[in-house]
Amino acid sequence: MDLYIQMAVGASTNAAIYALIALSLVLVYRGSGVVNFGVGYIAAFGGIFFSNFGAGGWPALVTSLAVGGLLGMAAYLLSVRIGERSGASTTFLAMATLGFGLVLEYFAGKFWAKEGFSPKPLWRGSEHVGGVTISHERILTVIAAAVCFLIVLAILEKSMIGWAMEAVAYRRSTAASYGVNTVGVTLVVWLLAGVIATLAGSLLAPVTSISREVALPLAIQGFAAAVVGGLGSVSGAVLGAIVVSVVQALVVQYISTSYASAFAFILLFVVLALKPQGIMGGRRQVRHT
Amino acid sequence: MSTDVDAHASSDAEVLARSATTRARARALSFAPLLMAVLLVVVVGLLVSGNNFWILIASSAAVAYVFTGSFNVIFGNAGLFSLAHAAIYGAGAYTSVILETTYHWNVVPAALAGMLAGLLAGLLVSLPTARLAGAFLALGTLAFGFAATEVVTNQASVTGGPSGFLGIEPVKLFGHDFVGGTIDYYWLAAAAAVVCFVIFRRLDRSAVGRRFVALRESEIATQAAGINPITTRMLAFCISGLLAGFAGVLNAHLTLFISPDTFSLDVMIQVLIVTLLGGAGYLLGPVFGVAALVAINQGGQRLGDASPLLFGAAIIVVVSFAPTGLVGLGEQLWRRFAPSGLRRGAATAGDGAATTERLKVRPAASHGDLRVEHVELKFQGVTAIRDLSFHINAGEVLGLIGPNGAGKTSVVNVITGRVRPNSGSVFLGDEDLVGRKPYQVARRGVVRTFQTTQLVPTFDLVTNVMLGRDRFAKAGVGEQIVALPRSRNDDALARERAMDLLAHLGIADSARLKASEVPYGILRRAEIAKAMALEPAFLLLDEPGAGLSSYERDEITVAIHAVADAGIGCLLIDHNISFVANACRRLIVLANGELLAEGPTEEVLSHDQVIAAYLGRVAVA
Repeated sequence: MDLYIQMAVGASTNAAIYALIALSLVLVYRGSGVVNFGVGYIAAFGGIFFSNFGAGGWPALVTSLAVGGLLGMAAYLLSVRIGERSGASTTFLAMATLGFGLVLEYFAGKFWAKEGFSPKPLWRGSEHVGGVTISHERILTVIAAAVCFLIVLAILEKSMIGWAMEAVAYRRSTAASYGVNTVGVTLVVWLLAGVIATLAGSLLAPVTSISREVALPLAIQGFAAAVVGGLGSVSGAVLGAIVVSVVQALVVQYISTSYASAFAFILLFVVLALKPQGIMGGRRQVRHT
Repeated sequence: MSTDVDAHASSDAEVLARSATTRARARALSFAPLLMAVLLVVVVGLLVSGNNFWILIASSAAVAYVFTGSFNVIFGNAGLFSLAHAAIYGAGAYTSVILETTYHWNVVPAALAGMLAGLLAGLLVSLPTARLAGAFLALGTLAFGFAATEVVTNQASVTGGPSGFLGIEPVKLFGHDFVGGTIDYYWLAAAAAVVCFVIFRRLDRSAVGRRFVALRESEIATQAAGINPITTRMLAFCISGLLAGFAGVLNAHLTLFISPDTFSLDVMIQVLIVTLLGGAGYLLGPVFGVAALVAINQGGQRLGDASPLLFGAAIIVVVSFAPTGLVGLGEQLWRRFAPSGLRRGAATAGDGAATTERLKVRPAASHGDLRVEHVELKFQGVTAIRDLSFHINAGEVLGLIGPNGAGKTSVVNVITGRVRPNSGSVFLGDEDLVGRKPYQVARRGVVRTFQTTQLVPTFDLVTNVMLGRDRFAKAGVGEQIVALPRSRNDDALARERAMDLLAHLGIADSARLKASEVPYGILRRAEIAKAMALEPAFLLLDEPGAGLSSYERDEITVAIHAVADAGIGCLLIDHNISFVANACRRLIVLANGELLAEGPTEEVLSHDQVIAAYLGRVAVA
């Protein structure tokens, strides 16, 4: 029994982090049609910022989220906007986001040490279930991811700006002809994506640790979750994250610890080969995200 | 029929004889780039010799060139965003050193095995990702790369695991040791780079290279030219995999140590950036890309580990301001500032008249007629075509008219295999075409043109038309890549034939202009020429007159009659009634996906329902 609880705890923390990264990816993919290869670097930069800001704790989290939002907008304005206007392909734009990520990686190493950081948890203490100790930080991580998901869902479904995002995601020119400020809306999308990625990095830091090196692996797990979920659906991102982390937990437990990520990727490969639209269907769903 | 074939055979021989002299001249010229390449590596070799630090950098640059060039084939030419390329490179490196060190193979067979491993790895990646494009292909191949890293890391007994593979023997050739890091090894790597340059250059100009670029620019155009996109894609993976494997072998013997870091994602990112910086898809792109790589790495180290910053900034600048990279930028500057006498292709787009001389058309073997039988097509509940049956005879021009949304283009899509009907058949003679892929239909002699022209914008018109000759090539893929005589003969014949067709459509003067540079009216005719190059039995023209002046439409009418006179059946879709009436003796009318009328042109055009469908019910009211 304890074993299963242990597995569930590990998988749920991973799922929360992957889901946030996938959410960030999906928002940008819908808004700009670009796979944001810089997402891992934004998460890592945000997490490192959080670990080193002032006395840490909640003020540091709020500040790092604000910084993350700015980074998201900067990623759009600096790396995507100009190419987009001159008609660069989404492949090229994806590489520009990677370029932005590399720049962030450099500054993260410049401002702070090139090492791993494990800040003090936001919520100290732990719970005991059976023989298993569950740190409050892990519980907080899952709750924060769930709240974040619900907020995003509420924004997309219930707010004017969310409808504008849907319209832009459907077709930019159509949205523009209805008087939607497409650049403004896209900026909001990237801002949200930046905040969410930073939240992932900041939540991950106290649980394990955060460094520049986790940027790519983090992004890759997020890709896997997003693609399994259909790369276009917000709920799919969360579902994909759960599937990926459960598969990883099972592989670690019953097959091999060393092939955990490889299996996530075999899963991704299989999903892409058999059902490229992912488990949540359409690449682009207009309503009912 | 047999005399006809003989006549063509003799004319082929004439063409080849004529092209032999021009080719001799061209061959003399084509040695110039090779000489430049040799000169470059020799000068670099002499400059760095004596300085171990720079020897290592020069050797790495030579290896990086081979690796970048191989990525340029798949990413630059074929437009496939594969992130498994570094892993394929690693497969080559590991295969060769394991065979050499653990199994005591000789370096040459081991190197060949490494290349083969690269080829097989490429094939392995291409199979499950055959239907993926763009970002999805990138993520799928990324998964492959990531899995490869884990396998190598975990199979420590074979690969040395995360700490790497030690004890790689230096290359021993002709009784001489080429130790990585010495000037000897530089000469070896430089020679390999020059050989690869020659291969890339030949590939670039070969029929295979043309197919890659066509695939990158438009899959629809590729299929319409009778080219199988899936095998073309696999071929791109195989060729680039083979050469990436070779680069891996070179790298392993340069550093004499490999580890999972040798082909990590960072390496993948670097080759991506270098390719883009130099200019993706340009022959010289990797050369300039590698030069930029060396500059950035050295500059970055001076500034204190700032390489990621410089790479990141460079890639953003390239994507934002110069998507064609350094070589593309240079080309643009050259066009703007070079003395006009040196510029090529500055000819004006002349608009000659189509020759009235009978078009020398070789129709495909007679298939009888093309019959559409009881075709029904639905899109999510909307019926686009309802129980449609009609036929086109060989040598006739059948007009197809109907209001917007009547299903005209859907009919062409069904016949050519782009859309599968819910029921019904399309018979070419006795063969049902339903279920065949568009390229298979094109190869069987049913060829179409598109409402919006589908030509490769970066090719000149004659090269675009040559794409249509692809299926007549006698040379195999291998011969094409290294441009053996049979392949060069194919090309000479294809070019001659393409020029012929362009001349007959009155646009020979524009033959050397890029498709992106010529006016619309010329593009439309070039597309007909490309379709004709496939020697169709039936030609389906989807609004060839749209957006043309009445003079240009007359030209196209002349061309269509020439096509029909040669025994080719044509389906002509257009909105302009007088254009269709001029070109066709028989007409069918579609409205709301149903056949409204069929018969001789005058009869159909005076049909009440047709008038109603087109002009509304004014006449009745």
